[in-house]
Amino acid sequence: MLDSAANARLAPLGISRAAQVHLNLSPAALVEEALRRNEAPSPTMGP
Amino acid sequence: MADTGVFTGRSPKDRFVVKDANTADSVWWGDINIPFEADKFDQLHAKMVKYLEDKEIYVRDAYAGANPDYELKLRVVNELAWHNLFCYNMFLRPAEGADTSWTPDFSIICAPGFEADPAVDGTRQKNFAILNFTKKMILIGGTGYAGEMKKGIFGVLNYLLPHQHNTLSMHCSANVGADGDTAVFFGLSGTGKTTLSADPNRGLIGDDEHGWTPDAGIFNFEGGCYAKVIDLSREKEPQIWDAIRFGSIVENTRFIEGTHTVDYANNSVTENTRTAYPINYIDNAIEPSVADAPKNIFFLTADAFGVLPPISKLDKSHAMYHFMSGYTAKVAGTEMGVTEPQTTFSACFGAVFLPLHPTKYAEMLGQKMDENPDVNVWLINTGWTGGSYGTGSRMKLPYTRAMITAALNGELTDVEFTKHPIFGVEVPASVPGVPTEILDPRNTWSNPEEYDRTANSLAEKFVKNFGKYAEYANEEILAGAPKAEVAAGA
Repeated sequence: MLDSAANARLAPLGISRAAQVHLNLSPAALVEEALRRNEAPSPTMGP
Repeated sequence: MADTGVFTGRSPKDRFVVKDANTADSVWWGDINIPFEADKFDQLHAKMVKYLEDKEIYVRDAYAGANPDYELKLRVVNELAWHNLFCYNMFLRPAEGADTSWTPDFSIICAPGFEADPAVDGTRQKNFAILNFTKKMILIGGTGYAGEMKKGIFGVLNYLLPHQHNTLSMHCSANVGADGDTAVFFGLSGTGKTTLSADPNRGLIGDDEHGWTPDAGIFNFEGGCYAKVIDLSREKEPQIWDAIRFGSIVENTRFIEGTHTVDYANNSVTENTRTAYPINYIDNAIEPSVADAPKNIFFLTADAFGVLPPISKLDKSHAMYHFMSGYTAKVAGTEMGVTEPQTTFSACFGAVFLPLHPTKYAEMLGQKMDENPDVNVWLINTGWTGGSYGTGSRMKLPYTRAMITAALNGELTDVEFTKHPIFGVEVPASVPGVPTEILDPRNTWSNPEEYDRTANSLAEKFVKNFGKYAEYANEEILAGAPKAEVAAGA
Protein backbone atom coordinates (compact mmCIF):
# COMPACT_ATOMS: atom_id res chain seq x y z
CA MET A 1 0.00 0.00 0.00
CA LEU A 2 1.09 3.55 -0.65
CA ASP A 3 1.16 6.34 1.89
CA SER A 4 -1.35 9.12 1.44
CA ALA A 5 0.96 11.54 -0.39
CA ALA A 6 2.04 8.88 -2.85
CA ASN A 7 -1.44 7.52 -3.24
CA ALA A 8 -2.86 10.96 -4.02
CA ARG A 9 -0.33 11.37 -6.80
CA LEU A 10 -0.37 7.87 -8.22
CA ALA A 11 -4.05 6.94 -8.05
CA PRO A 12 -4.87 9.12 -11.09
CA LEU A 13 -2.24 7.15 -12.99
CA GLY A 14 -3.80 3.84 -11.98
CA ILE A 15 -0.89 2.91 -9.72
CA SER A 16 -1.89 1.60 -6.29
CA ARG A 17 1.13 -0.49 -5.30
CA ALA A 18 4.92 -0.22 -5.43
CA ALA A 19 7.79 -1.57 -3.38
CA GLN A 20 8.76 1.97 -2.46
CA VAL A 21 7.86 5.43 -3.75
CA HIS A 22 10.50 8.17 -3.84
CA LEU A 23 8.69 11.45 -4.19
CA ASN A 24 10.36 14.52 -5.66
CA LEU A 25 13.85 13.67 -4.42
CA SER A 26 16.56 16.31 -4.62
CA PRO A 27 19.25 15.99 -7.31
CA ALA A 28 21.79 14.94 -4.70
CA ALA A 29 19.47 12.23 -3.40
CA LEU A 30 18.80 10.99 -6.92
CA VAL A 31 22.53 10.79 -7.64
CA GLU A 32 22.93 8.72 -4.49
CA GLU A 33 20.05 6.48 -5.54
CA ALA A 34 21.51 6.01 -9.02
CA LEU A 35 24.85 5.02 -7.51
CA ARG A 36 23.24 2.71 -4.94
CA ARG A 37 21.37 0.92 -7.69
CA ASN A 38 24.40 0.78 -9.99
CA GLU A 39 22.56 2.80 -12.63
CA ALA A 40 25.57 5.08 -13.07
CA PRO A 41 29.29 4.34 -12.63
CA SER A 42 30.16 7.69 -11.05
CA PRO A 43 28.67 11.06 -10.20
CA THR A 44 29.38 13.71 -12.80
CA MET A 45 31.66 16.24 -11.17
CA GLY A 46 32.44 18.28 -14.27
CA PRO A 47 34.79 17.85 -17.21
CA MET B 1 27.33 9.47 -16.20
CA ALA B 2 24.72 7.02 -17.39
CA ASP B 3 24.19 4.61 -20.25
CA THR B 4 20.88 4.46 -22.06
CA GLY B 5 21.32 0.83 -23.08
CA VAL B 6 20.48 -0.62 -26.47
CA PHE B 7 18.77 2.55 -27.61
CA THR B 8 21.07 5.54 -27.84
CA GLY B 9 18.51 7.72 -29.61
CA ARG B 10 14.80 7.97 -30.06
CA SER B 11 13.07 5.19 -31.94
CA PRO B 12 10.63 6.96 -34.30
CA LYS B 13 9.24 3.73 -35.74
CA ASP B 14 8.10 2.73 -32.26
CA ARG B 15 6.32 5.98 -31.47
CA PHE B 16 2.56 5.69 -31.53
CA VAL B 17 -0.48 7.90 -30.95
CA VAL B 18 -3.75 6.44 -29.71
CA LYS B 19 -6.38 6.86 -32.42
CA ASP B 20 -9.80 7.44 -30.96
CA ALA B 21 -12.75 9.80 -31.30
CA ASN B 22 -10.65 12.59 -29.82
CA THR B 23 -7.80 12.33 -32.31
CA ALA B 24 -9.11 10.50 -35.38
CA ASP B 25 -9.82 13.67 -37.36
CA SER B 26 -7.14 15.97 -35.97
CA VAL B 27 -3.88 14.02 -35.95
CA TRP B 28 -1.66 13.80 -39.04
CA TRP B 29 -1.64 10.00 -39.32
CA GLY B 30 1.14 8.15 -41.11
CA ASP B 31 4.73 7.06 -40.57
CA ILE B 32 5.32 9.82 -38.00
CA ASN B 33 2.12 9.49 -36.00
CA ILE B 34 1.49 5.78 -36.12
CA PRO B 35 -2.03 4.92 -34.95
CA PHE B 36 -2.43 2.73 -31.86
CA GLU B 37 -5.61 1.10 -30.61
CA ALA B 38 -7.08 2.49 -27.38
CA ASP B 39 -7.75 -0.92 -25.89
CA LYS B 40 -4.17 -2.00 -26.59
CA PHE B 41 -3.00 1.11 -24.74
CA ASP B 42 -5.16 0.17 -21.76
CA GLN B 43 -3.78 -3.35 -21.88
CA LEU B 44 -0.18 -2.11 -21.88
CA HIS B 45 -0.93 0.38 -19.13
CA ALA B 46 -2.34 -2.40 -16.93
CA LYS B 47 0.71 -4.57 -17.60
CA MET B 48 3.10 -1.72 -16.75
CA VAL B 49 1.24 -0.98 -13.51
CA LYS B 50 1.51 -4.65 -12.59
CA TYR B 51 5.22 -4.66 -13.52
CA LEU B 52 5.90 -1.71 -11.21
CA GLU B 53 4.12 -3.22 -8.19
CA ASP B 54 7.30 -4.75 -6.77
CA LYS B 55 9.66 -2.00 -7.92
CA GLU B 56 11.00 1.10 -6.26
CA ILE B 57 9.66 4.00 -8.27
CA TYR B 58 10.68 7.64 -8.53
CA VAL B 59 7.93 10.22 -8.89
CA ARG B 60 8.50 13.76 -10.14
CA ASP B 61 6.06 16.66 -10.17
CA ALA B 62 7.11 19.23 -12.73
CA TYR B 63 5.65 21.29 -15.48
CA ALA B 64 6.27 22.30 -19.08
CA GLY B 65 5.77 25.83 -20.39
CA ALA B 66 7.43 28.84 -18.77
CA ASN B 67 4.37 31.05 -19.37
CA PRO B 68 1.90 30.25 -16.54
CA ASP B 69 -1.06 30.76 -18.89
CA TYR B 70 0.12 27.88 -21.05
CA GLU B 71 1.83 25.58 -18.57
CA LEU B 72 1.24 21.86 -18.54
CA LYS B 73 1.35 20.27 -15.09
CA LEU B 74 3.22 16.99 -15.27
CA ARG B 75 3.68 13.89 -13.20
CA VAL B 76 6.39 11.43 -14.17
CA VAL B 77 6.82 7.92 -12.79
CA ASN B 78 10.26 6.46 -13.39
CA GLU B 79 11.72 3.04 -12.83
CA LEU B 80 15.23 4.54 -12.90
CA ALA B 81 16.54 7.16 -10.48
CA TRP B 82 18.71 8.79 -13.15
CA HIS B 83 15.69 9.16 -15.42
CA ASN B 84 13.96 11.04 -12.61
CA LEU B 85 17.01 13.31 -12.33
CA PHE B 86 16.76 13.83 -16.10
CA CYS B 87 13.17 15.00 -15.60
CA TYR B 88 14.26 17.32 -12.78
CA ASN B 89 16.87 18.82 -15.10
CA MET B 90 14.81 19.04 -18.27
CA PHE B 91 11.30 20.00 -17.16
CA LEU B 92 10.42 23.17 -15.26
CA ARG B 93 10.88 22.90 -11.53
CA PRO B 94 8.13 24.07 -9.16
CA ALA B 95 9.13 26.78 -6.72
CA GLU B 96 10.59 25.66 -3.42
CA GLY B 97 7.76 24.64 -1.10
CA ALA B 98 5.08 24.85 -3.78
CA ASP B 99 2.09 22.52 -3.42
CA THR B 100 2.45 20.02 -6.24
CA SER B 101 -0.28 17.63 -5.22
CA TRP B 102 -2.06 18.63 -8.40
CA THR B 103 -4.08 16.58 -10.78
CA PRO B 104 -1.63 16.48 -13.67
CA ASP B 105 -2.49 17.76 -17.11
CA PHE B 106 -0.33 14.98 -18.52
CA SER B 107 1.58 12.03 -17.07
CA ILE B 108 4.45 9.82 -18.12
CA ILE B 109 5.06 6.26 -16.99
CA CYS B 110 8.56 5.27 -18.08
CA ALA B 111 9.77 1.73 -17.35
CA PRO B 112 12.80 0.75 -19.44
CA GLY B 113 12.81 -2.75 -17.92
CA PHE B 114 9.28 -3.45 -19.11
CA GLU B 115 9.11 -4.93 -22.59
CA ALA B 116 6.01 -5.30 -24.70
CA ASP B 117 5.01 -8.50 -26.42
CA PRO B 118 4.47 -7.25 -29.99
CA ALA B 119 2.20 -10.13 -30.94
CA VAL B 120 -0.12 -9.41 -28.03
CA ASP B 121 0.34 -5.71 -27.35
CA GLY B 122 0.21 -4.26 -30.85
CA THR B 123 3.67 -2.72 -30.82
CA ARG B 124 6.29 -3.15 -33.56
CA GLN B 125 8.87 -4.55 -31.18
CA LYS B 126 9.57 -4.69 -27.45
CA ASN B 127 10.19 -0.95 -27.01
CA PHE B 128 7.52 1.69 -27.40
CA ALA B 129 6.51 5.28 -26.70
CA ILE B 130 2.76 5.83 -26.91
CA LEU B 131 0.90 9.15 -26.59
CA ASN B 132 -2.71 9.04 -25.47
CA PHE B 133 -4.38 12.47 -25.66
CA THR B 134 -7.63 11.19 -24.20
CA LYS B 135 -6.06 9.52 -21.17
CA LYS B 136 -3.49 12.35 -21.04
CA MET B 137 -0.70 9.88 -20.57
CA ILE B 138 2.51 8.71 -22.25
CA LEU B 139 3.71 5.15 -21.81
CA ILE B 140 7.38 4.43 -22.47
CA GLY B 141 8.86 0.97 -22.16
CA GLY B 142 11.74 -1.17 -23.35
CA THR B 143 14.07 1.76 -23.93
CA GLY B 144 16.39 3.65 -21.62
CA TYR B 145 16.77 6.65 -23.91
CA ALA B 146 15.68 9.49 -21.64
CA GLY B 147 15.05 11.84 -24.56
CA GLU B 148 11.84 9.89 -25.28
CA MET B 149 10.29 11.61 -22.22
CA LYS B 150 11.34 15.11 -23.23
CA LYS B 151 10.26 14.70 -26.83
CA GLY B 152 7.07 12.95 -25.74
CA ILE B 153 5.96 16.09 -23.91
CA PHE B 154 7.10 18.19 -26.87
CA GLY B 155 4.77 16.13 -29.03
CA VAL B 156 1.95 16.75 -26.58
CA LEU B 157 2.49 20.51 -26.66
CA ASN B 158 2.81 20.44 -30.45
CA TYR B 159 -0.74 19.09 -30.45
CA LEU B 160 -2.38 21.04 -27.64
CA LEU B 161 -0.97 24.54 -28.22
CA PRO B 162 -1.89 25.04 -31.90
CA HIS B 163 -5.04 22.94 -31.61
CA GLN B 164 -6.48 24.49 -28.45
CA HIS B 165 -4.59 27.73 -27.70
CA ASN B 166 -3.81 29.30 -31.09
CA THR B 167 -0.16 29.17 -30.09
CA LEU B 168 2.57 28.17 -32.52
CA SER B 169 4.83 25.48 -31.09
CA MET B 170 8.33 25.59 -32.49
CA HIS B 171 11.37 23.32 -32.64
CA CYS B 172 13.86 26.14 -32.23
CA SER B 173 16.34 27.80 -29.93
CA ALA B 174 15.81 31.39 -28.79
CA ASN B 175 17.78 34.26 -27.33
CA VAL B 176 17.20 37.90 -26.50
CA GLY B 177 19.33 41.03 -26.84
CA ALA B 178 19.99 43.73 -24.28
CA ASP B 179 17.17 45.88 -25.68
CA GLY B 180 14.71 43.01 -25.52
CA ASP B 181 14.79 41.97 -29.19
CA THR B 182 14.06 38.27 -29.55
CA ALA B 183 15.59 35.90 -32.10
CA VAL B 184 14.60 32.31 -32.78
CA PHE B 185 16.70 29.71 -34.61
CA PHE B 186 15.08 26.79 -36.39
CA GLY B 187 17.26 24.00 -37.67
CA LEU B 188 17.65 20.27 -37.87
CA SER B 189 20.39 18.44 -36.02
CA GLY B 190 23.86 19.59 -37.06
CA THR B 191 22.86 22.96 -38.51
CA GLY B 192 24.05 25.04 -35.55
CA LYS B 193 20.84 25.64 -33.60
CA THR B 194 22.49 25.34 -30.20
CA THR B 195 25.84 26.83 -31.22
CA LEU B 196 24.43 29.96 -32.85
CA SER B 197 21.92 30.69 -30.09
CA ALA B 198 24.74 30.56 -27.52
CA ASP B 199 25.83 34.18 -27.73
CA PRO B 200 27.62 35.81 -24.81
CA ASN B 201 26.04 39.13 -25.76
CA ARG B 202 22.48 37.79 -25.63
CA GLY B 203 20.42 36.05 -22.96
CA LEU B 204 19.43 32.45 -23.64
CA ILE B 205 15.69 31.72 -23.54
CA GLY B 206 16.04 28.07 -24.50
CA ASP B 207 17.82 25.73 -26.88
CA ASP B 208 15.13 23.48 -28.35
CA GLU B 209 11.37 23.96 -27.78
CA HIS B 210 9.30 27.15 -27.64
CA GLY B 211 5.78 28.46 -28.06
CA TRP B 212 4.67 31.74 -29.70
CA THR B 213 1.43 32.93 -28.15
CA PRO B 214 -1.19 35.23 -29.73
CA ASP B 215 -0.40 38.09 -27.37
CA ALA B 216 2.41 37.31 -24.94
CA GLY B 217 5.50 36.62 -27.03
CA ILE B 218 7.43 33.40 -26.75
CA PHE B 219 8.14 31.00 -23.93
CA ASN B 220 10.39 28.01 -23.41
CA PHE B 221 8.69 24.67 -22.86
CA GLU B 222 11.59 23.30 -20.86
CA GLY B 223 13.66 23.99 -17.79
CA GLY B 224 16.86 22.51 -19.11
CA CYS B 225 19.07 21.76 -22.07
CA TYR B 226 19.88 18.44 -23.72
CA ALA B 227 23.04 19.15 -25.65
CA LYS B 228 25.26 16.99 -27.80
CA VAL B 229 28.73 16.49 -26.33
CA ILE B 230 30.61 14.49 -28.93
CA ASP B 231 34.05 16.11 -29.27
CA LEU B 232 32.99 18.79 -26.77
CA SER B 233 35.73 21.22 -25.82
CA ARG B 234 35.82 24.39 -23.79
CA GLU B 235 37.05 26.29 -26.84
CA LYS B 236 34.16 25.21 -29.07
CA GLU B 237 31.26 25.29 -26.59
CA PRO B 238 32.29 27.14 -23.41
CA GLN B 239 28.73 27.50 -22.11
CA ILE B 240 27.95 23.80 -22.42
CA TRP B 241 31.35 22.86 -21.00
CA ASP B 242 30.81 25.03 -17.95
CA ALA B 243 27.27 23.70 -17.48
CA ILE B 244 28.50 20.17 -16.88
CA ARG B 245 28.81 20.01 -13.14
CA PHE B 246 27.35 18.05 -10.22
CA GLY B 247 23.76 17.13 -11.06
CA SER B 248 24.24 17.25 -14.81
CA ILE B 249 23.77 13.94 -16.59
CA VAL B 250 26.22 12.83 -19.25
CA GLU B 251 24.89 10.02 -21.40
CA ASN B 252 26.75 7.26 -23.22
CA THR B 253 30.20 8.76 -22.75
CA ARG B 254 33.27 7.08 -21.24
CA PHE B 255 35.94 8.20 -18.80
CA ILE B 256 39.56 8.49 -19.86
CA GLU B 257 40.90 5.21 -18.51
CA GLY B 258 42.01 5.38 -14.91
CA THR B 259 40.47 8.80 -14.33
CA HIS B 260 37.11 10.43 -13.69
CA THR B 261 37.66 12.76 -16.62
CA VAL B 262 35.11 12.40 -19.39
CA ASP B 263 36.53 11.51 -22.79
CA TYR B 264 34.28 13.53 -25.07
CA ALA B 265 36.01 12.19 -28.15
CA ASN B 266 34.92 8.67 -27.28
CA ASN B 267 32.21 7.53 -29.67
CA SER B 268 32.48 3.85 -28.82
CA VAL B 269 28.86 3.78 -27.66
CA THR B 270 27.34 6.30 -30.06
CA GLU B 271 27.95 9.60 -31.82
CA ASN B 272 24.81 10.85 -30.04
CA THR B 273 26.41 11.43 -26.65
CA ARG B 274 24.45 14.00 -24.63
CA THR B 275 24.32 16.04 -21.49
CA ALA B 276 21.19 17.16 -19.63
CA TYR B 277 21.39 20.06 -17.19
CA PRO B 278 19.08 22.73 -15.73
CA ILE B 279 19.00 25.89 -17.83
CA ASN B 280 20.25 27.95 -14.89
CA TYR B 281 23.58 26.15 -15.31
CA ILE B 282 24.03 28.46 -18.32
CA ASP B 283 25.33 31.79 -17.01
CA ASN B 284 23.32 34.09 -19.28
CA ALA B 285 20.07 32.13 -19.26
CA ILE B 286 16.96 34.26 -18.76
CA GLU B 287 14.50 33.10 -16.10
CA PRO B 288 11.61 32.88 -16.39
CA SER B 289 12.29 31.76 -19.95
CA VAL B 290 9.94 34.17 -21.68
CA ALA B 291 10.51 37.00 -24.17
CA ASP B 292 8.71 39.28 -26.58
CA ALA B 293 7.59 38.13 -30.02
CA PRO B 294 10.58 37.49 -32.32
CA LYS B 295 12.06 40.35 -34.28
CA ASN B 296 14.27 37.98 -36.25
CA ILE B 297 13.67 34.37 -37.28
CA PHE B 298 16.55 32.29 -38.62
CA PHE B 299 16.13 29.07 -40.58
CA LEU B 300 19.44 27.22 -40.36
CA THR B 301 20.44 24.77 -43.06
CA ALA B 302 23.70 22.96 -43.64
CA ASP B 303 23.49 22.82 -47.43
CA ALA B 304 26.19 20.35 -48.43
CA PHE B 305 25.46 21.09 -52.10
CA GLY B 306 26.87 24.61 -51.65
CA VAL B 307 23.91 26.09 -53.52
CA LEU B 308 22.04 28.26 -51.02
CA PRO B 309 23.42 31.71 -50.17
CA PRO B 310 25.09 31.99 -46.75
CA ILE B 311 22.41 34.51 -45.78
CA SER B 312 19.22 35.52 -47.54
CA LYS B 313 16.01 37.24 -46.55
CA LEU B 314 12.64 35.57 -47.04
CA ASP B 315 9.27 37.15 -47.72
CA LYS B 316 6.16 35.57 -46.25
CA SER B 317 5.67 33.05 -49.06
CA HIS B 318 9.27 31.91 -49.04
CA ALA B 319 9.27 31.78 -45.24
CA MET B 320 6.24 29.49 -45.15
CA TYR B 321 7.59 27.36 -48.01
CA HIS B 322 11.01 26.89 -46.41
CA PHE B 323 9.40 26.32 -43.02
CA MET B 324 7.32 23.50 -44.46
CA SER B 325 10.29 22.14 -46.40
CA GLY B 326 12.68 22.11 -43.41
CA TYR B 327 15.68 21.44 -45.61
CA THR B 328 19.19 20.46 -44.75
CA ALA B 329 21.70 18.12 -46.39
CA LYS B 330 23.82 15.51 -44.77
CA VAL B 331 27.17 14.33 -45.90
CA ALA B 332 26.86 10.67 -46.71
CA GLY B 333 28.90 8.20 -44.76
CA THR B 334 31.71 6.66 -46.74
CA GLU B 335 30.64 3.24 -45.52
CA MET B 336 27.53 3.62 -47.64
CA GLY B 337 29.64 3.98 -50.74
CA VAL B 338 27.83 7.22 -51.55
CA THR B 339 29.80 10.37 -52.13
CA GLU B 340 27.00 12.83 -52.93
CA PRO B 341 25.30 14.79 -50.16
CA GLN B 342 21.88 13.50 -49.14
CA THR B 343 18.97 15.90 -48.86
CA THR B 344 16.91 15.84 -45.69
CA PHE B 345 13.51 17.49 -45.58
CA SER B 346 11.76 17.62 -42.21
CA ALA B 347 8.66 19.79 -42.11
CA CYS B 348 8.86 22.74 -39.72
CA PHE B 349 12.41 21.62 -38.92
CA GLY B 350 11.00 18.86 -36.75
CA ALA B 351 8.42 16.76 -38.58
CA VAL B 352 8.92 13.78 -36.31
CA PHE B 353 7.43 15.75 -33.41
CA LEU B 354 4.36 17.10 -35.21
CA PRO B 355 1.02 15.51 -34.39
CA LEU B 356 -0.82 17.94 -36.70
CA HIS B 357 -0.38 18.41 -40.43
CA PRO B 358 2.62 20.68 -41.22
CA THR B 359 0.39 23.16 -43.06
CA LYS B 360 -1.23 23.99 -39.71
CA TYR B 361 2.11 25.20 -38.32
CA ALA B 362 3.14 26.95 -41.58
CA GLU B 363 -0.12 28.85 -41.78
CA MET B 364 0.28 29.89 -38.15
CA LEU B 365 3.77 31.19 -38.96
CA GLY B 366 2.28 33.20 -41.83
CA GLN B 367 -0.36 34.55 -39.46
CA LYS B 368 2.35 35.53 -36.99
CA MET B 369 4.21 37.36 -39.76
CA ASP B 370 1.02 39.27 -40.62
CA GLU B 371 0.49 40.19 -36.97
CA ASN B 372 4.16 41.20 -36.57
CA PRO B 373 4.99 42.98 -39.83
CA ASP B 374 8.43 44.05 -38.60
CA VAL B 375 9.66 40.49 -38.15
CA ASN B 376 12.52 39.47 -40.46
CA VAL B 377 12.96 35.90 -41.64
CA TRP B 378 16.42 34.80 -42.72
CA LEU B 379 17.71 31.63 -44.34
CA ILE B 380 21.23 30.89 -43.14
CA ASN B 381 23.38 28.31 -44.89
CA THR B 382 25.95 27.01 -42.42
CA GLY B 383 26.99 24.35 -44.94
CA TRP B 384 29.24 24.50 -47.94
CA THR B 385 30.56 27.32 -50.12
CA GLY B 386 32.66 27.26 -53.28
CA GLY B 387 31.21 23.95 -54.39
CA SER B 388 29.46 20.92 -53.00
CA TYR B 389 30.89 18.73 -50.26
CA GLY B 390 34.14 17.28 -51.59
CA THR B 391 34.97 20.35 -53.67
CA GLY B 392 33.95 23.36 -51.61
CA SER B 393 34.59 24.11 -47.99
CA ARG B 394 32.44 24.51 -44.89
CA MET B 395 31.25 28.05 -44.25
CA LYS B 396 33.44 29.58 -41.56
CA LEU B 397 31.61 29.93 -38.26
CA PRO B 398 32.91 33.49 -37.63
CA TYR B 399 31.36 34.56 -40.96
CA THR B 400 28.03 32.96 -40.05
CA ARG B 401 28.13 34.66 -36.66
CA ALA B 402 28.93 37.99 -38.34
CA MET B 403 25.97 37.60 -40.69
CA ILE B 404 23.60 36.81 -37.83
CA THR B 405 24.96 39.68 -35.76
CA ALA B 406 24.46 42.05 -38.70
CA ALA B 407 20.87 40.89 -39.10
CA LEU B 408 20.22 41.23 -35.37
CA ASN B 409 21.73 44.71 -35.25
CA GLY B 410 19.68 45.96 -38.18
CA GLU B 411 22.81 46.48 -40.26
CA LEU B 412 21.18 44.90 -43.31
CA THR B 413 18.20 47.21 -43.33
CA ASP B 414 19.62 49.62 -45.90
CA VAL B 415 21.67 47.12 -47.88
CA GLU B 416 20.80 46.36 -51.49
CA PHE B 417 19.32 42.90 -52.07
CA THR B 418 19.22 40.79 -55.24
CA LYS B 419 16.68 38.04 -55.85
CA HIS B 420 18.22 34.61 -56.31
CA PRO B 421 17.17 33.47 -59.82
CA ILE B 422 16.14 29.97 -58.77
CA PHE B 423 15.18 30.08 -55.10
CA GLY B 424 13.71 33.59 -55.17
CA VAL B 425 15.24 34.55 -51.83
CA GLU B 426 16.78 38.00 -51.38
CA VAL B 427 20.59 38.02 -51.17
CA PRO B 428 22.33 41.02 -49.55
CA ALA B 429 25.06 42.75 -51.54
CA SER B 430 27.20 43.27 -48.46
CA VAL B 431 27.41 42.25 -44.82
CA PRO B 432 29.77 43.89 -42.33
CA GLY B 433 32.69 41.62 -41.49
CA VAL B 434 32.01 39.17 -44.31
CA PRO B 435 33.85 39.01 -47.66
CA THR B 436 31.40 40.26 -50.29
CA GLU B 437 32.44 37.60 -52.80
CA ILE B 438 31.01 34.75 -50.70
CA LEU B 439 27.50 36.21 -50.48
CA ASP B 440 26.48 35.11 -53.98
CA PRO B 441 27.22 31.38 -54.01
CA ARG B 442 27.49 31.27 -57.83
CA ASN B 443 30.51 33.55 -57.58
CA THR B 444 32.28 31.12 -55.29
CA TRP B 445 32.15 28.18 -57.69
CA SER B 446 35.04 27.78 -60.15
CA ASN B 447 32.50 26.61 -62.74
CA PRO B 448 29.33 28.78 -62.61
CA GLU B 449 27.52 26.51 -65.09
CA GLU B 450 28.07 23.61 -62.73
CA TYR B 451 26.57 25.75 -59.97
CA ASP B 452 23.49 26.34 -62.14
CA ARG B 453 23.09 22.62 -62.78
CA THR B 454 23.49 21.77 -59.09
CA ALA B 455 21.13 24.56 -58.02
CA ASN B 456 18.54 23.36 -60.50
CA SER B 457 18.90 19.82 -59.24
CA LEU B 458 18.44 20.95 -55.64
CA ALA B 459 15.41 23.01 -56.63
CA GLU B 460 13.88 19.92 -58.22
CA LYS B 461 14.43 18.04 -54.98
CA PHE B 462 12.59 20.81 -53.09
CA VAL B 463 9.69 20.64 -55.53
CA LYS B 464 9.55 16.86 -55.44
CA ASN B 465 9.56 16.83 -51.63
CA PHE B 466 6.84 19.46 -51.48
CA GLY B 467 4.63 17.38 -53.72
CA LYS B 468 3.27 15.51 -50.71
CA TYR B 469 2.01 18.77 -49.21
CA ALA B 470 0.92 20.51 -52.41
CA GLU B 471 -2.76 19.62 -52.18
CA TYR B 472 -2.91 21.01 -48.63
CA ALA B 473 -0.87 24.16 -49.18
CA ASN B 474 -2.44 27.41 -50.29
CA GLU B 475 -1.25 29.53 -53.21
CA GLU B 476 0.66 31.88 -50.94
CA ILE B 477 2.83 29.04 -49.66
CA LEU B 478 3.28 27.57 -53.15
CA ALA B 479 4.49 30.97 -54.39
CA GLY B 480 7.62 30.42 -52.30
CA ALA B 481 8.71 27.38 -54.31
CA PRO B 482 12.00 27.51 -56.23
CA LYS B 483 11.72 27.98 -59.98
CA ALA B 484 13.64 25.02 -61.23
CA GLU B 485 12.75 25.73 -64.85
CA VAL B 486 14.65 29.04 -64.67
CA ALA B 487 17.85 27.13 -64.07
CA ALA B 488 16.96 24.58 -66.71
CA GLY B 489 16.74 27.34 -69.27
CA ALA B 490 19.75 29.23 -68.03
